[in-house]
Amino acid sequence: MRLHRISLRNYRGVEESDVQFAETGVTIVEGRNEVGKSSLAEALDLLLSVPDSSKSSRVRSIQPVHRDVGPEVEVELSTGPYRLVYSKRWAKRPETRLEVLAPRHQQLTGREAHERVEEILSETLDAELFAALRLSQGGELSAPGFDVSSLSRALDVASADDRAGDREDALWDRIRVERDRYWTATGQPRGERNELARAVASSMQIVEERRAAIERAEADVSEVASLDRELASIAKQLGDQRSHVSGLELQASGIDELRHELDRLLAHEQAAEADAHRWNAAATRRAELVDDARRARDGLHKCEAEALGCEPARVTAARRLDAARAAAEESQQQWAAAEAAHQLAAADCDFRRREIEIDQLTERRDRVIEARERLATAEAGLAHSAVDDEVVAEIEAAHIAVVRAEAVAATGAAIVEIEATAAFALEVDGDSSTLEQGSTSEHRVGDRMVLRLGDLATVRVSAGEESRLLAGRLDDARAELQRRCEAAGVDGLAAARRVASERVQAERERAEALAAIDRDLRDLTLEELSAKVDRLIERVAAYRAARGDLPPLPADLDRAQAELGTAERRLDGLGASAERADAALRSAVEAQHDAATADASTAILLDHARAGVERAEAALLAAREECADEQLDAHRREAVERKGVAAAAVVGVRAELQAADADSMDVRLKNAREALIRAEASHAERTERRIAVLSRLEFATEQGLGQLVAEAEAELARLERAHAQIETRAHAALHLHDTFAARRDQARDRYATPFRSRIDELGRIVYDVGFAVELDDELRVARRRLGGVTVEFDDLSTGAKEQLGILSRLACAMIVSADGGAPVIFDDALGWTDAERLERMGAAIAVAARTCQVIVMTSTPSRYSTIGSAKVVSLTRRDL
Amino acid sequence: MVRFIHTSDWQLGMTRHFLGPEAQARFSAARVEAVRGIGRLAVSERCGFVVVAGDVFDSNHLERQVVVRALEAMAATPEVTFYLLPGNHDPLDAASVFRSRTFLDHVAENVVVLDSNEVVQAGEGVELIAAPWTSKRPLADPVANASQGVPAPGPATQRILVGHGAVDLLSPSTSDPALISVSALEAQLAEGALHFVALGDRHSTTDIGDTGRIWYSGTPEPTDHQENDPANVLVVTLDGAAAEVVPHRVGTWSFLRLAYDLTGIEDVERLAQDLDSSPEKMNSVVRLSLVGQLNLAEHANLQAVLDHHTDLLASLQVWAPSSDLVVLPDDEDFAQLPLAGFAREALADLRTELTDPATADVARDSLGLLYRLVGAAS
Repeated sequence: MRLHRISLRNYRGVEESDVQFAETGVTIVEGRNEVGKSSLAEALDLLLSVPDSSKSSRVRSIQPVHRDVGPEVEVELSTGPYRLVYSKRWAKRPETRLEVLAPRHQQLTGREAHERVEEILSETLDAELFAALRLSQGGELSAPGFDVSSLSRALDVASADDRAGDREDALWDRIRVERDRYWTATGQPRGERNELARAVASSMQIVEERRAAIERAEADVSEVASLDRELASIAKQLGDQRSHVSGLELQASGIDELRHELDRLLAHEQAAEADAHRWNAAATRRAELVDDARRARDGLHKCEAEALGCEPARVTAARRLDAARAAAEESQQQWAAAEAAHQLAAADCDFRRREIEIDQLTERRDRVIEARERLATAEAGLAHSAVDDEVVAEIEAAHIAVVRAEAVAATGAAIVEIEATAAFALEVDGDSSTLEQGSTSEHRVGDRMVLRLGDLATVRVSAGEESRLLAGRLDDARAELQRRCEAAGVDGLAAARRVASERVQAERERAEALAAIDRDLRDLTLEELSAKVDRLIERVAAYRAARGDLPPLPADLDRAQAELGTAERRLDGLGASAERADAALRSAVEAQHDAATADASTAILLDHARAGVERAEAALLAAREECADEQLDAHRREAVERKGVAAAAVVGVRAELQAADADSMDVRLKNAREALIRAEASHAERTERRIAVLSRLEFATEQGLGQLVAEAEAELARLERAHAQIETRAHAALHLHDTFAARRDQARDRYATPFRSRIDELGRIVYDVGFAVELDDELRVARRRLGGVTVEFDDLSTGAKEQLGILSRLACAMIVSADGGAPVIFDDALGWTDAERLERMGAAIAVAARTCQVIVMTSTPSRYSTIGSAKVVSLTRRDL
Repeated sequence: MVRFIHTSDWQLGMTRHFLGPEAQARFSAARVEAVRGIGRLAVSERCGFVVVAGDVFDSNHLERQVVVRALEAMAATPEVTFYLLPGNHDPLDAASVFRSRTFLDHVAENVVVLDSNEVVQAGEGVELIAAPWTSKRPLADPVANASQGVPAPGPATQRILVGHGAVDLLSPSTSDPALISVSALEAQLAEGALHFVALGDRHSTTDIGDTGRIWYSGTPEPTDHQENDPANVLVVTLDGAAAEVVPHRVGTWSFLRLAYDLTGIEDVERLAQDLDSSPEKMNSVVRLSLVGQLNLAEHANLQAVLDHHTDLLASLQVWAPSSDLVVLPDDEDFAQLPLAGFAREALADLRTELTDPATADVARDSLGLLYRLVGAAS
């Protein structure tokens, strides 16, 4: 497609604007932003896509403000074989007009016109390409993709004779759909295949389980067969064993009879042995009796000899006892004398101590009597004094009240001052005096005052109400003081204080006297103390009277105590010797007692021995009377002989039993019986097992396992077929897909090469010879190599991204231009590019523009000044 | 004169893996119906009894339904006695179906199980000597000892041996200890100790040896493609020295083996016509052996024919062991695939792969798929 002209009318701020484009080469449309240079691209879009009847916001946004006219756009363009003029007016008097100039003239309006244009464009213009070739400032800076059909076709043309088209693309889509039926994106089998695989596995498991069940049943069948064989053989064995056991039992009963005989003989032998034992015992007993009698007599003789030896010991003991008694008595007398002397010394000691005590008590008694006298004096004084501290305080208070009242009355009272001009007799309230000439007299007026001035006058002065009141109060205070003094029996405060002081003195004396009494009386009364003194005096006197003169009374307490010490020591010494004498006496008494006891026990032993002899001899006699010694001996010998005969008979039977192999018979019979029991148990066990297996088999048989296995196998076979089929289809789909994908990638690679080298060529103009790019699947610049360094597109600077965006569009446009292509439209691009690079970009754009139409819209035309061959069109607002 | 029916190998309860559930049900029903047919035939042919020489049931482990239906079918003709011999499929072991509670509870009076070697009187002047199998794998000729210790038959008595197993004449495996010695049987026939030997195990009706008195009756309803002449029962007439054996067809199912060499669309069309013309499609089990070479278009055609008849027939299988059909895309196919660009190249790759045995299979499948996808597009 080539744009020849765009005209705008009443389009936003533009009243009318007309832009002519160069068919090939660069057209630079310059104008300030607000003039609407970017409106050109927008207007082209609106014209091609929005019907004139539209009320959309896009239409509203282009309506001119304040003017009631519809915006209009007219375009003249060539596309494919067509050249046409196409215009639209929206909003007000909407209108669409189309004039096809070539190849065949045609004029259409309204909807028909719109549809015809759409038809022509879809026939001749690759809309994706048209969109891809536009770059606007501030637009998307990511690498543009060029996976558009016109580029692909253009590149295909370059690469091969025949080219894949829609038919192949549609086939490719179906191949992918087919592959995706069986495979996930990551190449894993999809659900249906997995389900089938699982179904095969589980079906196989069922088959195996059922086969196993059948095998178990078959094993059971064989087990029953083998049990049947075993049972038959055991049954035969059982018959043999039973007859063997009964043969052995017959033999065993013979042996039992012999055993009974043996038992009988053994009992007989035992009885004979008991007899022999009894007679032997009787003989032994007889010998013992004889022996007993002899020993009893021997004992008696010994006792009698011992009794004779006892006498001298008893006599010696009696003599020793007498001597000990005499010694003890004497020792006792000496101790009694010393005891008496000791008591006297103690009494003397007491006597002297009491004398001292009498002196002390007498002193105490005298002190108490004296203190009592002092107490009486003090108490008498106290009894007469009613003035204590409290009374003094009250009188003091009353006194102070008077003084205060006087002071108040004095200040408040009227004063009468009399100055005698001549001497005269003055009587004031009845008190008379004489006032000398020139002297003065002052008087305070309490309540009222009567002054008699000689004979001359009687003056009555009355105080005012206040003075009277104060005077009254003073009188009251004085009366109170008076009353209190009278009650205390004093004539004033000073007397009261003195009387109170005397009272304090008397109280102290009383307390001292009481303390002295307490100290000396302690817990006694005076009477008891006196009585105690009297009793002591009496006792001392009595002792002196009672005591003899010898020994003489020690002179004082010290001496008495010395005497007492001497007496005590002597007493202690005598006490020890008296104890020794006592001990000797006790020992003698014991010896004497022992001797007497020994004597008595000897007598008892003697009696015992005599009785023993009598008993032994009586027993022997009795025994002999029952059975004489000779007779006894005969019995004994006969019994022993019988015992020997019985033992011989037992030995005989035992030999017989041994000959019959009785012991092993027991073992053999036991063994045979046990073997029989075991065989029977084994038979029973197998019978039981056979029943169990049979019942299990019966159950298994009723399951219809044979059919179940066959059915499961059929199902497995079906599933396996289905699974194999789907797997075959899946792998065919995958293989087809992979084969196509590989070839498609190759083709893509192949036809991407011219595109890439075209970008490289342009890039080398702008950068240097080391410039190269790599493209991705969608023909988008993925990496840039420059100066040997490869950088991902996304990591490039904004300027470099913008430059690559322009270069790749130019390259694309160059390739597709032969086939019609579409104009490359840059809207104020290269804002990020520095001056030097701008110049080179200009050169690159100029090179590209040799084969295609490039339209640059800009508000800064200087950016593009380096594009030598450019046609410059100025866009201006002519109406505003 | 003695007249009876000799049959065997009913194989009741048999399941065939190549049959779908619906066909399997009819297959099972047909086998029970065959039993009724035998009863009716016995009546119409004035046969006194039927001997079933083994494999009455396909297994000892059967669903109850199979057993009771079989007994019910035999009870339908009470005047005909059925003598059943346990064979290798239903031996008289601990699991024997003939001793199962179901069988014993429902067996009618006209059914006798030949479960011992004792002589059975099957009517005036007729004795049966049976050789039942007691295990799946006998270690000796299963019929050799059957008549041992049995007194020779009276002069007016026809004695029939009922046995089961492979005969040494037909079996190449001499190491099998359980083969039946034909010569021993012939000797007994010659002696007059036996007058007829009714054998089972072989599903094809077969006259053994030269006596005309040793027979396999074959199965009354076919069970497999290997069977040569199945679907018959034998009406046997013994009259003094004469023995007459007449096969009667009773089977309703057929097992067909068809082989084709496919080299072009005409062959595919012939195959389609053949399948179309087969009668009783619902009761036909067809196994195809396909060899030859087809291109993609022809193969697609073949596939459509097979799909159609799979629905019509009881079963249709291409038997892999005997099939070798090569699908080779040819220029004609590719003429229908006018692809360009990468698609044309990919197609060429796949064609190349066809020539390499390692990749031929998947390449062929892929091409088939491609053919289909292109077809779907156009």
